[in-house]
Amino acid sequence: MSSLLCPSSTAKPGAALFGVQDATGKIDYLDKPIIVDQTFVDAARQGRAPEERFRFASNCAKNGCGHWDSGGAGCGLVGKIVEAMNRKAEAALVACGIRQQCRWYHQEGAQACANCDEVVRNVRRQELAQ
Amino acid sequence: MENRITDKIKALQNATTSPEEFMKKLAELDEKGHLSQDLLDQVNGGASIAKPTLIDTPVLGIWFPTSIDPTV
Repeated sequence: MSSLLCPSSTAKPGAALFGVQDATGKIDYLDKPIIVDQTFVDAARQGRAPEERFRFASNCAKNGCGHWDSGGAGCGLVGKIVEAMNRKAEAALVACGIRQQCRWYHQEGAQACANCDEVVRNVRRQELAQ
Repeated sequence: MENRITDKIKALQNATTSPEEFMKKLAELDEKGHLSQDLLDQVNGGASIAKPTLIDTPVLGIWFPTSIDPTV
């Protein structure tokens, strides 16, 4: 089985762009994700932080990520989001190009999707400059 | 079902003449979704455990809602 995808990846070559934050702050999901390259990343860094405009997915780093919960052997972040947002899943989920490979969906099912479209990642600009 | 952002990106793709140009134009896409500056100032995220962190907090990656439902 291929690696599950983390839906909170940063903008980097090879990442899959799967959503764009709209003017209301919600995420519009692409029908099919687009794999971005270095040209995209370089251009995107010229403007507002891409992680605050787009949603990216890339392979779940598991133990290499600060959110990995070794005890629960899963992503510790999605549970916090579901708990904090507390939105119930509707019968029909919004179309999402990465759902079948999504780490969050794999762990929390439809609840993850219900709470996914109103969150956005903020990456500290200082780290991006490193 | 209509997908506005997908349609917009398809139009962008049709309007460009090379993959490189498409990537550049795509990177410029900004639908003006934003958080308040207060929230941006408060929230840090995306720290890798492999890199030194700038501030010493146990959890640096924090997601937060872009809208708050007052009924919850």
